[in-house]
Amino acid sequence: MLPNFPFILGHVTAEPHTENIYELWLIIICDIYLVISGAIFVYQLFKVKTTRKTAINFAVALLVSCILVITFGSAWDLLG
Amino acid sequence: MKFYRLWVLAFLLKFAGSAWDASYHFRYLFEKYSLPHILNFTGFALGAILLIFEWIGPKYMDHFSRNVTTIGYVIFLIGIPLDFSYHIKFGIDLTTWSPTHFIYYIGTGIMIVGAWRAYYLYTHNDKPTWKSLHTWFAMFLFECLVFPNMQQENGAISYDQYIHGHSIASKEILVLIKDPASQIFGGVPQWIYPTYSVLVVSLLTLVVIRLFKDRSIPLAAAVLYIICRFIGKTVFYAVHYPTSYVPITLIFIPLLYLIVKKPTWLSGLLGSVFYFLSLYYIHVSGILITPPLTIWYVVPVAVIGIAVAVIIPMIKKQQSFGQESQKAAKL
Repeated sequence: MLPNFPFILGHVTAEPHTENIYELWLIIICDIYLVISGAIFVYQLFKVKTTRKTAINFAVALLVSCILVITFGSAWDLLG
Repeated sequence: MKFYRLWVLAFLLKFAGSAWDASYHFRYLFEKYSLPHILNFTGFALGAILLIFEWIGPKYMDHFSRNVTTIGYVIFLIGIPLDFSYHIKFGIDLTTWSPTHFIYYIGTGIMIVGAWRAYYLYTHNDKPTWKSLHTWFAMFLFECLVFPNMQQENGAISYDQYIHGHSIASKEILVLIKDPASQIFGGVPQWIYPTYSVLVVSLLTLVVIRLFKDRSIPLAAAVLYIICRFIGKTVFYAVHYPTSYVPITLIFIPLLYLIVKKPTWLSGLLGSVFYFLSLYYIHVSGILITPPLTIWYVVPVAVIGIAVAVIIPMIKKQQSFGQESQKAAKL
């Protein structure tokens, strides 16, 4: 197990973990939405443009992601 | 000024929480409510409150700086679900060198830059000196940049305790250790530690000198950082928490830029070489337990020290900072 462990990614534990394919894909799709909406929001902030719509879009993406974190983990996982 | 003191308090809480967290995970795997995370979040929340007030009614920050700080918050918030999904895919990672952890550092770094820029423009009538809050903001950015090295600095002492059979790590951590020499140091190559340190500290030092035209601020920030780390180390030692090597020799980098003003490449070379050789001396003499080192690392360290010193002065200075300052003066 350990020689194949992705040390290059910076992992130090081979901690057993649940890897449900349904969970994972659902989270990945929401993560993609979060990153795209976040990137648009960041761009508009940097350009000092009106950001209300993109801020709401990002807030929705963040809220959905947070609900998934609480559902599959716990509220304490939101602390990072 | 109270507004910016509160920003300093917010970043100080984040600093204390992250340093505690780095130490915590050399002893414990994970608990439901991790106190270091709560402390870190307190600083995050205090900053968020200050930022919300600025969005409601801009008073102390110019629009661009406020937006930059907000960008930092957005990036940090994106990092939370991404880090969670990373844990779902790969399991819990007890290292500072994880890709999703870097999102937190980048977010925090941008928050600091935004708040610091706003402070600079707010106090545009005063010449920046080391006695001002500039030193604190520089110290927080310094800490943010060198934070990944906490893995090696905590790991050095934890590894020494482990191989001598005196580990204070919990059983759940110890059962996971199969390859201590790699796992405890986060699985990154040994040469990363000194070269990364020289890269980020030289960069910060030169950028601060260029922007503020003051060579004492980077040195004061480095000294303040070392003092804070020693305070932390004392507290951790007193409560039997894992302690870390404090990178005292990093001070040589801003110190040499203060002493040798021209040519810049010589300051970069001397600072980086002094930093590494003194660190290497501490390592071989056994005065303190340092991350593992080999003498040939001095070559990449010196090359990076010179490269940063040559490249940064070549970058054309943007005029926007000066224009913003003039705008702020008119307000």
